[in-house]
Formats: sequence, structure tokens, C-alpha cells
Amino acid sequence: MTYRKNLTMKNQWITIAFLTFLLFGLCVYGRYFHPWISLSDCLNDPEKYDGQVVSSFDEPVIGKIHADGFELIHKAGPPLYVYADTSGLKTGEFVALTARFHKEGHLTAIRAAVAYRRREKMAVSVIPVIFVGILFFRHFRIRVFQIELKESSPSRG
Amino acid sequence: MPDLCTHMFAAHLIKRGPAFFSSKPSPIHGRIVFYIGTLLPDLLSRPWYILFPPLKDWVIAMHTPMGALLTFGILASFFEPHFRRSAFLNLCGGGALHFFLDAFQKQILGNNFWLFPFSWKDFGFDVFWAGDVIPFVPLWIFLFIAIEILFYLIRGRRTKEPIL
Repeated sequence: MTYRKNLTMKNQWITIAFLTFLLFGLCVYGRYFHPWISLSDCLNDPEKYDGQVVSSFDEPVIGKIHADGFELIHKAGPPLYVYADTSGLKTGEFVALTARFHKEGHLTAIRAAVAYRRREKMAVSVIPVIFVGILFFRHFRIRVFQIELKESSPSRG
Repeated sequence: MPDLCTHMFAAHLIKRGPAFFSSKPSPIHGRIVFYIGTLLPDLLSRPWYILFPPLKDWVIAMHTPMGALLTFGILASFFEPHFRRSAFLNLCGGGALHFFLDAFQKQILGNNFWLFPFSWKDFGFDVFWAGDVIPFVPLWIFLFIAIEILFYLIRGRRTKEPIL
């Protein structure tokens, strides 16, 4: 019985190790073989990406708005100027942006839209996480390397 | 993605709805794991790149069906053997619902890489922006509570089944 249990445990760990390895491989593939160009790629090698369309930004926020564009605040470096139609844009809001990169250090927007209520979205998303967390610990018990159903729980389905 | 309240409410409807018409008890453990499955694709990807933006491309795989499937497999392996299969199926069900709802959302970069890693084709339907759903969140929470009260009045009181 103990031998069989040990064998099952061993199989469990082999399965976990194999799946983790595959998942890591997917993460590496996603990182190095995605088709889009990010702003940080452009900033690291401006000559190479001059004129390319950028669609991946690190948490882009609209800074000061001017007549012909706006400042883009992002986490990949200092703010950049984006030439764009500024109608509908609002300072301090997150922006969904596709733009052409220029090696001089500015962008020309192809599509720019305010990502409304993104902060609210993040805030309300915490509620179900806490709720499910409470439910989980009410009905499951975490042992060493195993999640057990609590005996006192009324249903074990 | 729609916000997690919307995902959660949809998951609750899917799991609770049939219980009104069934004579079998609604197993709470499976339901909780289903909820986890519906929240997990976002939980494993979004917080990382909001807090650490350079990780964005690293975690994109976690928000794909294939990445989610592997994650669910790993997570299900930690449950007790007799519950493992049920846990895996419920996680997969929750995950499938998550990706289905995400497909309705408009995205600039794309968010629905259902065939990843074989293709980067985005399968979104581009119906609404994520922010459009936020005003409905109080309604989802109200309906969630109302469903539980209704469930208790119709079935729970008789069958002694827990509401949560």
C-alpha cells in the first residue's frame, strides 16, 4: 500500500515537473516569438525600428495634451510625444494606442482611444479574488504539497 | 478582459443556474474550483505586468488556452486524488468561460490567442471596451446576492445545502 502510494506521489511529481517545463517553454516562446513591436524594443534600437508600427506599450497614460498631439507617459522610459488627433483624449487616462515610431524620438498615432475606467476595473477585480479566497480557505485545507477538502464541508463533489 | 466581477458573475450563473432545476445537491468544492478557473487566466498574467511591465511578453502565454490548460493541470495535481479529475474539469470549464467572455472585448494588441503557440491569430469579436461593463458591476453583485437568497429560499432551506 505504501509502495503504491509512493509510486502515485512520484507520478504526481513527474506530471507537475513535465507540465511546468512545458509552461515555461510557452512563456519563453511568447517572449521571443511574438509578432508585435513594443515601445521598449524601439527605444533600445531606434535606427532599426524607425517607421515601424508599435502596438505594445508599458502602461501608457496620457500626459499633457497639445493642439497636435499629447505626451505619452509610459514605464519603458521618459515621456514621448505622440502626434495625434486629440479629440476625446483626456489627461491622466490610460490610452489604447497603435502608433508609428520615429527614430527622432516621437510617435505618430494610427489609432488612439482612451481606455476608460481601467483603474476602476483593476479595483473592482479585487472583490471576487478576496471572495473566492475566503471561500477556498473555508472549504479546502492546504497540507504540505496537497490541497485537501475539509471534512466538515457538507459536499465533496 | 472584462473585469473579474463580470467573469465571476458569469461563472456563478453557469454553476448555480442548473442547480435550481436539479434534485442533486450542488457540490460547493467543484463550484469554488470553477470560480478559480475563471479568475486564474487574469490572475496569472495581469498583476505581473501591471506591477512589472517588462514581464508583459513573458506572461502572455498564461492568458492563452494552452497556457491555462497546463496551469490547470499543475494545480489539479495538488488536489486529493479522488477530487483531481473533478478539479481539472472544473478549472477547464471556468477557464473556457473566461476566454469566451474575453473574446467580446475590444483590444488594440489582441488578447484572444486561442491557437497559441501554433498561431498568433486573434479570435476576438470586438463588441465592447472593458470599461463599458464597469457600470454594471453593482448590478452583478446585487444579482449574485439575490440568486443566493433565492436559492436558499427555494432549495437550501429544504435540503440544508449551504448557500456559500
